[in-house]
Amino acid sequence: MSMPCRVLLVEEDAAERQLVLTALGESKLVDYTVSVKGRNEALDFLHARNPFLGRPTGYPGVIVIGPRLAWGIGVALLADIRGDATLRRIPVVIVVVKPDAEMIRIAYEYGVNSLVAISEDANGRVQRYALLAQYWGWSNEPPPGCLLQSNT
Amino acid sequence: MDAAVRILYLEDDAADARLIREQLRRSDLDGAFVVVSNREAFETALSHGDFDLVLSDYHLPDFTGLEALELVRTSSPQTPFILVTGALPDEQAVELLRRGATDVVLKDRLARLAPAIERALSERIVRRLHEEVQARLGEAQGLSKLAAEAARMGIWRLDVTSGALDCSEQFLTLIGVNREDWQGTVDALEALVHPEDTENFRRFLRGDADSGRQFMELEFRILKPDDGVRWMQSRGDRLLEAGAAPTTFFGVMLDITEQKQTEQTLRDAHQRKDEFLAMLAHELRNPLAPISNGLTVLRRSTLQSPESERVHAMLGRQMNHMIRLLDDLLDVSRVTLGKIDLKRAPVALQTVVQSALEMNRALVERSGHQLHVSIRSEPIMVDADSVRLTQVLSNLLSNAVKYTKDKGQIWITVKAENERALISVRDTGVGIPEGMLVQVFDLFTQVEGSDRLGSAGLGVGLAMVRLLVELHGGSVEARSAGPGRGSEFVVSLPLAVRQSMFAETGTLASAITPFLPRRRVLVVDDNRDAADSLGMLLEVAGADARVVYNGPAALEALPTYCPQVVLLDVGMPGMDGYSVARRIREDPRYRRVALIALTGFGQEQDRLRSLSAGFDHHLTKPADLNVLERLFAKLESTVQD
Amino acid sequence: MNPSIDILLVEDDPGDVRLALAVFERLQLAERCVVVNDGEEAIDFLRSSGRFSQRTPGLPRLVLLDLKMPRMNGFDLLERMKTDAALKLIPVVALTSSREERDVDRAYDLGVNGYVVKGIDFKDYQATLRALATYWGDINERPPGFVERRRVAVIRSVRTVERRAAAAILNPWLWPLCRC
Repeated sequence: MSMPCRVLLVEEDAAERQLVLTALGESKLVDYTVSVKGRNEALDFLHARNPFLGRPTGYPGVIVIGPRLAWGIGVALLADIRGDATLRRIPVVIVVVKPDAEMIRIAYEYGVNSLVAISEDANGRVQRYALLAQYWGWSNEPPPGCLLQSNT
Repeated sequence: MDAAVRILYLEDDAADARLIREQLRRSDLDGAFVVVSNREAFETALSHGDFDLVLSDYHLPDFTGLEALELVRTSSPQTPFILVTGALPDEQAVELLRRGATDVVLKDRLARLAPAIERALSERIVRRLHEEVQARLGEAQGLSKLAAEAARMGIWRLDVTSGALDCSEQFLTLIGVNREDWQGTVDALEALVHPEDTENFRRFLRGDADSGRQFMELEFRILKPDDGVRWMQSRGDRLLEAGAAPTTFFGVMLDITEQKQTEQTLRDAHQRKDEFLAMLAHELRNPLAPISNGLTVLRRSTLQSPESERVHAMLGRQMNHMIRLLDDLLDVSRVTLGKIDLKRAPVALQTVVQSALEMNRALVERSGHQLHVSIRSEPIMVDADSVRLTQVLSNLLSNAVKYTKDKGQIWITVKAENERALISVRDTGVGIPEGMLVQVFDLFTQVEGSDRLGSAGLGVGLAMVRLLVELHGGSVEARSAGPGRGSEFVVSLPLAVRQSMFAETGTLASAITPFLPRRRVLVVDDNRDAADSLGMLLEVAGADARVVYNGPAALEALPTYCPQVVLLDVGMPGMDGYSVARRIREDPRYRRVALIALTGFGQEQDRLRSLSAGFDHHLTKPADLNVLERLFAKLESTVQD
Repeated sequence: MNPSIDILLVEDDPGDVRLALAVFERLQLAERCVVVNDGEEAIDFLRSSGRFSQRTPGLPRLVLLDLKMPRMNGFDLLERMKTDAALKLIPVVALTSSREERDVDRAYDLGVNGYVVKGIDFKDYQATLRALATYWGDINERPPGFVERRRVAVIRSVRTVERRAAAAILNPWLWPLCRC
C-alpha cells in the first residue's frame, strides 16, 4: 500500500502515549495517528461528536487500546465497537502488560482482533509497538472506509 | 481538589463505607458525603440532592448496582457513576460499563479509586466546556452563516486527499445544483467549471495540497444550467485541527460576474478614451502644418524690424513646442493602442548612449551640469529597436537636466548584471516624493512644485519611457531619497543571448558584398568572443582573417602570416596594443602594414596616444560594418599587394 | 505431550503453498504447518473428522485462509469458524489475492482477525508472509488452551529436508505436506 491506514490510539497515560507515538514514528504512522485519553473520547472521535465534529470522514484502520487504560474499560470499549453497526469491522488491538489466560480469553471472546503483551522494559516496548504498527499500519488491509485515498 | 465535591454513596456495609470514606479523605476528596444503604434512600437522595458523583456497591440487599445505575442514568445522566465492588466477573463489569458506568473499582484495589474519581470529574468538566464551546461556536457559526447568506457567499470545506467537498445551501444555490443531486466531491464541482478554466482549477487544487500553502484563492467560470457563464471567486484557508488530515481547506465562494462585467466595461471605456486621444492628437496636428508654413512665409516676406523678429521667433518657438507636445501625445497613443512596431536587432548599448548624448548635447551644455558617463568598453548587447531605445535614454537624460538646478551632477551608468543590462540615470535634482515613485510613470503626471528649466511638457515622457521599455521586455524603476534629494531612473533590459557583435554571420553573409578581396587581416584582442566575431565578419567580407588573443602571439604570427592589416585592441592585459604597435613599427619589414587601433568607449581621448604609437587609424568598438567598410576603402588606396 | 499445530494454511495454489512453507521454516515459526486445499478439508481437520479422524487432537493457533477456493470457499469456512463456540477464538487471517472492497468488507463482517493481500510479485509475497508470520506468530498473544509445542528437540537437529521428512513420518497428519 502506498499510504498507511489511520491509527486511533486510546491511552490514558501520557508517558505511554509518547512511547507509542515514538514507535509509530518509525513506520511514519505518527502523522496518521490520533490519540485520545479514554473510552468516552474514543467513542466521541469514532462517532465524530464534539469535540471531533469537524474530523475528516472515514474510520481509523486500527484502534489500539493501550496498556494503561483500565482493563475493564478497554474491554468495554471493545464491546462498544463490536456492538455498533458502523464501527464493528474496525480492527481492535489491545495491548496489555502480563495478561493472564482469563484476560486473553475474555478479550478474544469480546472480539479483539489481536492481543499483544508487552514487558515493563521501555526499549522492548518501543520495539513491540513498532512491529505492531508496521503490521497493522502497512501490511494488514483495513476494512473499506479506513484507508486514506490518494489523489487520482 | 474542589472541597465542595458532593458524593452519593450507596453501600449497605458500614465497615466498607467507613473504609471508602477514609480512602477518600486521604486523597483530599472528602467533600459532602452522603451514604445510603437501600433503594428507597437512594431514590430520595437522588431526587433531592445535586451530586457531582455517585459511588455504588454491586451487591445490595434489595437491588443491584445495575439497577442503581439505571436510576442514575434516568434522573441525571451526566453524573458519573463509579462502581466500587468486591470480586466481579469481568463480563459483568464490562456490561456495567457499557450500560453507562464510568468506571469499576475493586474493593481490594482501592488505590485506584481516587484517580478514577478525579478522572471522572475532570472529564465531566471538560465535557461541559466542550458543550459550551460548541454552543458558542454554534452561535458564531449561525451568525457567520447568516452573514454569508446575506452577502450571498457559499461556504465550503474540502478534504484534498479524499476529494470530499462539503458545502452550504448558499453554495449550491450559487452553482445551481440541488442538495439531492449534489455528489459531495470536488470532481462534481469541476464538472461544472468552464472548459478553459478546468486546467487551472485542477492544477491549483493539486498544487496547494503539495506546496503546503496556507491560503487558497481562485477565480474561475462555471456553466450554470439556466444562467450561462458565471464568474466565481473562491477563497480558503487551511484547516488546522487535532486529528484532521493535513490537507483540509475551508472557505467561501462568491459570484463575481457583475464585477467582472464592470471591469470589462471599464476596460472598454479606457480603450475608447485612448483611441479618442490618438485621434485628437492627429487632428490637432493638421492645422499646425499650414500655420507653421504660414509663419515661415511671413518671416521671409515682412520687414525685418527687431520687434517683428522677436515676435516671429516667439511664434516659431511656440509652434515647435506645440508640435513637440502633440508628437509626444501621438507617440504615446500609438504605443498604448499597440500601433508601434519595434524594429529589433542586436544593438550595443554603447551606441545608444552615444546617440542620446549627442541628441542632448546642447541642452546639457546650456544647463551647466556636470555629466558623468560610465560604461565598459566591451559591447553590451541587447535585442532592441535602437531608435526607440535612444528615445528612452534621451528622455531620461533631458528630464535629469530639466529637473536639476544649476551646476548639478548627472550620472549615466550602464552595466551588465545577472543576464540583465542596467541603465541608470541619476541626478542631484528635485527628487520624487515616496508616494509618487510609481505614479510618476503614469500618463499626464507631473511632479508638483518643481522648478524646472525648459518648458513644461504634457507629462507624457515617462509614460512613453515605460511603455517602450516594457515593449522591449524590460522594466523601469524610479528611485529617490525624497524631495530635493535627487532621483535615479533605472532601466533593466534582458541581455541579448549572444554577446558577440553580430547575430549570425550566415544572414550577414548574404547581406554583405565582399569589400576585402583576399586581404590578410590579423585581429588581436584578448576578448575571445569579440576577436572571433570580428574575424568572422572579416571573412564574410572577403578577407582572410587570423585571430590571436594576445600581444606575443601577434608578434609571432607576423613573419609567417604577413598580414596587410592588423586590428589591435589597445586595452589588452600584459602587452597592450600600444606596445605591440610600437614593436611592429620598429621593424622595417612591417613598414607598410596598416595598424588599426580598436578602442573601447571612453578611450577616445587616447587618439593622440595611438597616433604616437604608430597606429594609422582608430576604431571604436564595436566596429560596425559601415565603419569597417569605409575604413578599408580608405586603406585600399594605400595598401599595396 | 499434546503437540499442537501452529498454523493451518488453507490454500489451493501449490506455488503459494511452497513459498509459505519456505518462509515459515526460515523464521522457525512453524514447526508444524498443516496445509489443506479447501474449506471442506479445513473443517475436517478442525473437527478431526473425515480424513483427519485419526489425528492427534489440538487446534491451530493461527489459520491462514485464501478466500477464493473450490468447493467450500474461504468465506464459508470463516463463517463456520466464527460461529462455532469451539473454534471462534482461533485467529483467522485472510491471505488472499483480492483487494476488492466487497471481499475485504465481507471478511471483516464475518469476523476475520486480519486481512493480508498477496503481492503481485514474488518478492512482495515473501515480504508479506514474513510480516504476517512475524506478527501473528510472535507478537500476537494466542488464545489460551493451545499448548506450546515441544516436540522440537528431536527435529531441530536434523537438516531441513530431513526434518520435514522425519516430521512427516512421525505424524500422520503432516501427510498433506508431502503432497506438494
